[in-house]
Amino acid sequence: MRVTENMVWQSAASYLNRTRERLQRVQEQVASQRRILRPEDDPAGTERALLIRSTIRAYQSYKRSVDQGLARLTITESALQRATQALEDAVVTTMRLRSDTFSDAERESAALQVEGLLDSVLAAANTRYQDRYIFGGYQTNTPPFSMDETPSPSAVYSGDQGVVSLYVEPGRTVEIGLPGDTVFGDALEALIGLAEALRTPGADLGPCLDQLNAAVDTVLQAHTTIGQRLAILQDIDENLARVDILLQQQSSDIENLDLAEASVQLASEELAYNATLGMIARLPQPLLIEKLR
Amino acid sequence: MPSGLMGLNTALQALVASQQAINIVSHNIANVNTPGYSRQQPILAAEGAYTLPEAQRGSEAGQVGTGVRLVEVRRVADTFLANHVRLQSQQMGQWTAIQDTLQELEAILGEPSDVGLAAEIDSFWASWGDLAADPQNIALRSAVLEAGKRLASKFGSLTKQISISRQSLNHQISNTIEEINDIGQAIADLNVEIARIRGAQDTPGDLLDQRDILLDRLAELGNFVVAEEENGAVSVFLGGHHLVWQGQAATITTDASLDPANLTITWKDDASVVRATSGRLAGLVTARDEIIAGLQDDLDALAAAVVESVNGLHRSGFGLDGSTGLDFFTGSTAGHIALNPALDHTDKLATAGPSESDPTSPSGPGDGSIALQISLLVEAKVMDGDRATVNDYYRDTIGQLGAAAQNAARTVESARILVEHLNQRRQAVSGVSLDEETINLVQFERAYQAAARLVTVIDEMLDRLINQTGLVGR
Repeated sequence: MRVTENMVWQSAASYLNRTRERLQRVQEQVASQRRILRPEDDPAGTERALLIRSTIRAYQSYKRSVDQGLARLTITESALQRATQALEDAVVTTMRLRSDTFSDAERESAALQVEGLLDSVLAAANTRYQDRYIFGGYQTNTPPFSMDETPSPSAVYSGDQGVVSLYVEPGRTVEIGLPGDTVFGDALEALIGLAEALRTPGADLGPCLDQLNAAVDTVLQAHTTIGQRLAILQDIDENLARVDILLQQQSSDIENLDLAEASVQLASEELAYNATLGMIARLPQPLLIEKLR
Repeated sequence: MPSGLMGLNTALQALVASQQAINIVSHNIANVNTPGYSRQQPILAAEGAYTLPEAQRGSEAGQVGTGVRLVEVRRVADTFLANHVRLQSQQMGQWTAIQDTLQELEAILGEPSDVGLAAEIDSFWASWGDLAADPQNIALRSAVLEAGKRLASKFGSLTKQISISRQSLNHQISNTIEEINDIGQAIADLNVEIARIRGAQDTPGDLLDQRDILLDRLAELGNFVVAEEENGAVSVFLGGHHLVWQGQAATITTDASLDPANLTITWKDDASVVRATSGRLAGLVTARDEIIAGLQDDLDALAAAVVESVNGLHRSGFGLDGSTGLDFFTGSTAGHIALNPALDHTDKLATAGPSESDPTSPSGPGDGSIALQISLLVEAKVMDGDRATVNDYYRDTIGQLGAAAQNAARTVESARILVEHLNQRRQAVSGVSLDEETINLVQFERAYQAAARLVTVIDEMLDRLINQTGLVGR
């Protein structure tokens, strides 16, 4: 095949450009620390990368929900503990006043104590978290329990049965809310009854004791439920932390550049480029015309 | 018997022929770097022999040659190779146009990233998720409205940038058409010149080179069919309509009257549509009408699905002030989606579901169930005939874009390699090799020198005959 001057120069230009293109690409990767600069670099990898990024964001969202849930359930738990404590104090008082004979004055003083305990339980029932009443179902702006004095003292529940749920894992919601009517209603009624009985000379405290014990059971049951929910959330919390690490690792594997590999490639491309330049520098060969005569 | 002066004439012929040959070699050497130049070869032929009439022949040998003549300046070019190169150029032209657009769209979408549409969509769903945990929180309610605005704005800005791309393609289409028209006219003019010179039995080598360069450039622009006519002119056709016929060139024009966003391309003389199936023009049209339009359709579908699914839930929910039946988004396409201006206060944002006892009023301020349901739309299969989530659909769009861009890049690269290879082969046939021309130069120079010497010899012979014969006793 004839070889002409033009062929030689055109080939040289073409090789040089190709070498530069490859070098340029590796330089871009190293500068940005990314393996995938554009979707066309790895279309399937890009889709996976997007999926992982979305998943990471979703898990971050779950984490925020879990944190919110843990905080609120913890407050719920301590409110229940406060109510339990008050009820148990009431039980002790009742049992004491039952076994011995006490004067009216002593019974009155006990009644006052019980009213104090009533206030405690009421305060627990009306606990607020971030300015919202947590035991009133969806009615978070009004105190769930109020004391009605007429016709006779009773606790009135003005909340509803709404239960706040949080989405904390793919396909999993956990209930956070606890409508207070059953939980605190029994306790409040029992304490109101007790105070009244204490103020009624000769009243039998037996039924009051039964009521109080029943109320304690109710609160303890609620306590157990809340405890279970807390355990679930803590478990999920740990899992979320593990998954986040895994996801970050996967994201990095797909998107980030393996610097060691890239450095070797960079050196290799630079070598190729320099070699091409050297080859081109040697291209101008002596012409026949220079050799004649 | 031939005249003694015949030898002189033969020598003269030799001198002239060698001179002409050297001139042709000079032309080649001068044009060693001229793009598209095909080397020219001097074709020499022996002149006919002088035939003695029978009567005077006697016993002498008959046919004695009378010299040499330059009969043709031959242009060395391979039309088959030229056509092959042009075919591959069409591919390259078409796919380069497509590749450029795909890369521009990749840049516009900018994925994978933390500020792309995928991130905005995720952010939007997440803002509802945060709100569901504490629906009365004013900061979180504000955040949802903000996220809605940002998402709408992202759709809008993507639409705008895609529209700018489309406009740019229309410009490029116009420019390409102008170039085609100019080249067509130039070829027509060359046709006239070439036909004239061919009529005089000569080969207009340089004009043919010029015309070939124009045809090469034209090939990149469209799937033009080139046919050589008897008189040396070429006719050029595109999609059955002529661009060049002898000295006449047709014009392509663009018609914006039907749809300003999409210029239609027609022949000026009969308003028929230009059918280009390959080459840059076809590539630009494909890029505009299929690739860009396709992406815009995908974005519109995404926006519509988001608007519809969010609004459906939002309308059924209640705000903190009891507002209900409000849309969250207005608009249904990516270019028009916006936060409903009626949501001018965070209280109006619907988060609560209906009350069980009275479905026309809200259940309570602490109810975030509507917000929860909206945040769960991230997993809802609302696209592609209910088979894909919004995120799935978008990821698929990006994946397809990437695959198309990768494919285009590979096609361009392989077409380019082939074009380069074919051009090398073309050069091997038509290119000037300085060493080869040097040898030719030496060859013809020697011939010239020999011919010059020949003149001296004949001169001496004649001199002897004329001046030194028949002189007796002088």
